[in-house]
Amino acid sequence: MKKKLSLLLLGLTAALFIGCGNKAESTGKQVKTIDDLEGARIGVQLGTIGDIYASDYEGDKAGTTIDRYNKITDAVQALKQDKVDCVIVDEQPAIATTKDEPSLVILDEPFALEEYAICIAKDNEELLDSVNGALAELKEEGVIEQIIENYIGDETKGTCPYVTPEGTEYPNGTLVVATNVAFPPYEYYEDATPVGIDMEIIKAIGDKLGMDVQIEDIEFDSIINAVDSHKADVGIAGMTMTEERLKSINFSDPYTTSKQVIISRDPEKSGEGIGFVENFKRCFITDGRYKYMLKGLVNTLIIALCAVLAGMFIGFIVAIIRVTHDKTGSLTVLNSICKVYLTIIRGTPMMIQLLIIYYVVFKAVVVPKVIVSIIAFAINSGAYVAEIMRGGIMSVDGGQMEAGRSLGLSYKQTMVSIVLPQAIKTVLPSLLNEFISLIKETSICGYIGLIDLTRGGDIIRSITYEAFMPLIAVAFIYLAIVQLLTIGVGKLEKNLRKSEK
Amino acid sequence: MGNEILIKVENLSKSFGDNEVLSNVNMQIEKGEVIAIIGPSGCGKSTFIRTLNQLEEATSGAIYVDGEDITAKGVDINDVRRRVGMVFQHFNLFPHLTIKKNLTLAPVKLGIMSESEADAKAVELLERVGLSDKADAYPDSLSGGQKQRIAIARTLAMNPEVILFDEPTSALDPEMVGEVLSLMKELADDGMTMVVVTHEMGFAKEVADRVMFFDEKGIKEEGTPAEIFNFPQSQRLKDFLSKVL
Repeated sequence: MKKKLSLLLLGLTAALFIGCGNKAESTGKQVKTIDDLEGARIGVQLGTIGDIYASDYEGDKAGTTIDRYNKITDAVQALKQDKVDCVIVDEQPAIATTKDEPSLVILDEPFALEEYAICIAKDNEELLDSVNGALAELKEEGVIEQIIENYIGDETKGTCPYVTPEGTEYPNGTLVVATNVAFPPYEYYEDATPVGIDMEIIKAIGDKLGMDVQIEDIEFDSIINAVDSHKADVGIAGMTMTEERLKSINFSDPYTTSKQVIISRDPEKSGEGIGFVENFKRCFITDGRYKYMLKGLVNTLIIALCAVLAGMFIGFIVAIIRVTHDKTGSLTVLNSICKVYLTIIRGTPMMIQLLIIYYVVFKAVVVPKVIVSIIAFAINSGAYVAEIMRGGIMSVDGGQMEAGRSLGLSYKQTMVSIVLPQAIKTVLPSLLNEFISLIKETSICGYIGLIDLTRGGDIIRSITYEAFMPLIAVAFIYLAIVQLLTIGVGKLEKNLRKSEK
Repeated sequence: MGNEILIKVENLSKSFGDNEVLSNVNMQIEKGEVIAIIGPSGCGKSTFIRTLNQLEEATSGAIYVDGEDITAKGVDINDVRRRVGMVFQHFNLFPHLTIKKNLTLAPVKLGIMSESEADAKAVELLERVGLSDKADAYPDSLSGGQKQRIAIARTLAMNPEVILFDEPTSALDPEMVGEVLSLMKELADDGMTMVVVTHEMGFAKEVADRVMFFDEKGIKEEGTPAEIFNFPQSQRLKDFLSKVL
């Protein structure tokens, strides 16, 4: 039975993999000029200038719709699959993402011109002045131009990388930089390292300021939050100064100009993809890209394991407080605290809790993201484990407690040696379910810029512009972990049951 | 029979909310005595026996064990319970532990005996209740009668001064009642102080030193088995006996 099921799953997965190359017939509107935007389905990256411009069209009479994606590569993927009719994006990322896509074209007509700048917290005027000073010097020395030419322009590309001047020291500490490493050529991954125009410029600024640069890869729409809450000192991500953004953040002088362009499908050219094997190689083998997922997998496992253990601990304590209160009427204050905890944690989405813990609770403290994630997931899981455990304890016959107490054991001793062991056995399947959902829920860790398994797959997607292969692979790994866990706990349960007969 | 008073109950009352179950109960138990408590269902006899080790807290009144008022504040009730054993109607063995562990858990946890002392005591007690071969079995594999004998052995493992039996044979199949009663009789013969809530009139007649008839929130009538069973005074007791005998 189990074998059959596994075979079925394997078959399904294979079918999905093969299905990657298939193409649907185009049904949407053809966007050839800016005028065609009205009534079209526009794809943008959430929070970008493209998003702001496109929003002017949203809800107009022609029925224009906007789809906002977390990554520009996702938007381009959606365009390829006819989920949107065009994508509005900055010029250089547009060139980079359409390079290997013969079915997509960039319209010659630019949509808008703009300037990129570095964002810095409002209350950090001192840093703003230093950054502007450094920028001015770098422009003077021609370093900015050199960096841009190293990434743009067929003749100069790759010929003139920025090199830290000899003898540079970093006496002024670390410059924490928030960015979204999925925006080539300004920021993207190469050999697991963030590279690109912005990365080199900020490195050059850091060298000028005598500060060591530390890159934090987070979602684009979280960058301003991160800088505002001092999670990062500066944000650099091909970001244009807008009135709206100026309300919450300061911008340096611009360091380069760009323009917004429209990517559209070319009806003349078919989008026939590459073969399965080659696709697989491109996603996982080339440049050792599987390492992104491996690194992510390790983080996912560490977070899940530690959070499960800590969550169990919290859950036990809360459950025991609640049960003790129900049975004896004592611990009123603690019980009220527990109730508030359970209500809040079970009444709000996990992702919001994670963001609050990262951006609000640990606003002023530097804590490794893995630890932040473990804390967030442990607190969340603890609430669910507590209610599961409480149910388990309640399900143990009241005579057990009486028997223990009548022998002279204290409430605590009876709880630990007699009631809890029986309760745990009862709730083992429910606990397992909780752990399985916790492992899957860790996939939101990417929102605070941590590279977990899901994020690892995302990075590969942002490099290869290939959606299916990394996503299916990530899904398959989650499935495998969950299956292993299910089998393991099944055996444990069987052993426990055997011991009673 | 000695005259040393082991348990003394004074003006004991117990209410559950507005429902008074016991009202001004007075009695005393001497060391080595076997008391049988009989009476119709719902007369408060189970509640009474459960107040004797404070599984039910008394609403008012006092209960003295070895001269100490166990209803007073600040009493180490766990210490009292070590001396006052209890056997339940539904056995309440610990299903996740072996029979031997059921016997040794409390003495070892409470630091009364070392692991090896408790083991030796368990072996001795299992022999006494005739279930030596079940030491490593789990409770679920035992019959009802065997379970109750183990429950008695578990109580004995604490070397209690008195054992309270709360309807110990009521949950048993009829053919298993005998083995439990004969074990209880042996205990009585060995001089154990016992308080037994029971519906087994034969046992009360044969083994008890005194019989108490509970009705209407307290002790309606008490006396030797001969007095209670042969010369009942009150009409309630006569009616009760006519139904059960």
